[in-house]
Amino acid sequence: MSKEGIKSEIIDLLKSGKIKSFVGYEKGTNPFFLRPLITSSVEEVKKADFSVLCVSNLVRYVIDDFKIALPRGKTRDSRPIAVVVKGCDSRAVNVLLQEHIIKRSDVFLIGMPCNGVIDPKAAESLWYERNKTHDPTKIRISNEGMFEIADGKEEIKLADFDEIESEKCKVCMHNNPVIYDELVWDKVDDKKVTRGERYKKVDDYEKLDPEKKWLFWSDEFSKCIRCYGCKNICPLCYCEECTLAKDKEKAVLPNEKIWKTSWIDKEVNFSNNVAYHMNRAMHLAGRCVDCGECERACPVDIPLRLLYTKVEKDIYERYGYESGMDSEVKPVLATFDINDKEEFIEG
Amino acid sequence: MNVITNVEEKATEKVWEPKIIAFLCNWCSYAGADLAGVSRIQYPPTVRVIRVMCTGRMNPSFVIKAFQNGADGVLVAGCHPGDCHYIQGNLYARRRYSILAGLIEFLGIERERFMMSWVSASEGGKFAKVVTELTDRVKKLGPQNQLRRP
Ligand code: SF4
Ligand code: SF4
Ligand code: FES
Repeated sequence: MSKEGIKSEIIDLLKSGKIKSFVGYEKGTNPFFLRPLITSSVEEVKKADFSVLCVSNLVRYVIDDFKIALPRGKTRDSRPIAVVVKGCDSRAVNVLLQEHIIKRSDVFLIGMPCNGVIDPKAAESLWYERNKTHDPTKIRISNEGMFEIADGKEEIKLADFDEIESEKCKVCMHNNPVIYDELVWDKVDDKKVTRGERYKKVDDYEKLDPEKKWLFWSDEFSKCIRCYGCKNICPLCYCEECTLAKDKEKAVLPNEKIWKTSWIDKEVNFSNNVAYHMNRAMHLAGRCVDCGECERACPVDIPLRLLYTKVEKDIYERYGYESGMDSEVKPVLATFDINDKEEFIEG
Repeated sequence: MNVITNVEEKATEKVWEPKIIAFLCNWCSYAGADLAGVSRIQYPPTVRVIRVMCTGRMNPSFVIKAFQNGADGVLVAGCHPGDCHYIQGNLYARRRYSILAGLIEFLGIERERFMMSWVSASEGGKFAKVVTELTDRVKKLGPQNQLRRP
């Protein structure tokens, strides 16, 4: 298939009413980022674009669709949503299927094999540093690198792709979607990243002594403003009411305290921040697909991926399980093996 | 006057004793702790027991919350694998806590403050041993201030 081919297929599907809407990417005002396009109109679909700027994980919008409150008497349109998925995004779909949050018939997956997307922040800062024309419209980013279109056809290379590639893609092990209905273009070769390379950063941090680790993480966690951006953007944080962002409930019975406390308090202070992040890491254990959206959304640049990759590594090493690879198997923490390692249990 | 200040001084001079929260499963470890008491086995009075029906019912956030509320150490104890009253609760718990233990270590939170153990209903002595060990470890570390709420 090609870009145009896939677009005309989506248009056909929309026209025949086989899908209810399309979630993809379109050019916005930011030249370093394609914004999400959510539409059910044929004209809009023509604007869709597929490139290395397809940064966001659109699976989030699929679960958001389930949360829309409907007027009384109306039922949800059960036709599938067509959604563009990269390798990591498709694994998120698998996790949702595994946990019975969506059915396979709720989505029409347009797989986009990718050899890495860019990091918009890194690309933007490099552009500021190196560009000559100061004209953000004169820029072209492809998987060869970032170019400036100076005059007419002439192009100046501003950065190699390596420099602007996002961190998560550098250590991605599944470049092709693991589940899809249609591919935008042919499958790409996997980057052949080894486990060692993937977990190198985690290994480095594990080697630090506890005081250094705590110093690092307490600095990071004290920055958190609890905007809940990380959980709001995560395709796997689908709970209707997040237990980590719950208001205290007013007591109903006379013998209860005035306010029932929640397990994780909403007040922003250091202790609650650490608790929030520990709990979130636990909630994503064996589920996080390392799409990196949380880290991208975070306004204060907390290295959330490092935290979740640590959990991922533990799970891989202990249980040989990788999240989102198969929608038929049971989630790793929802099952057990009588012979599981228990070296951490004492006594 | 003097007497009063003396008394006050005495009160503030009180030696610090660790607070340990022990989550014990109803069917094995709680009975084990009971047995330790009934057979008059000595163990440190630092431990506050919270009975849960099964370790499988234990949400990792209980441990985190305990630390937040000022626990100096947390013990999670349940039936030995294969002995769980609910057959598999402790096996789920084992997976869950293996991850939490790694996370605690990764963040640089003093790992020695968290302990998980299997204590059966007949192991009164083991319960005493486990509590003594955790108390010793926590005493060495001093009060827990990393996660404590202001
Ligand atoms: S925790 Fe972050 S990296 Fe993991 S799935 Fe959610 S948004 Fe993606
Ligand atoms: S996005 Fe960043 S600042 Fe916001 S809650 Fe998450 S970690 Fe905290
Ligand atoms: S009943 Fe003791 S661990 Fe399940």
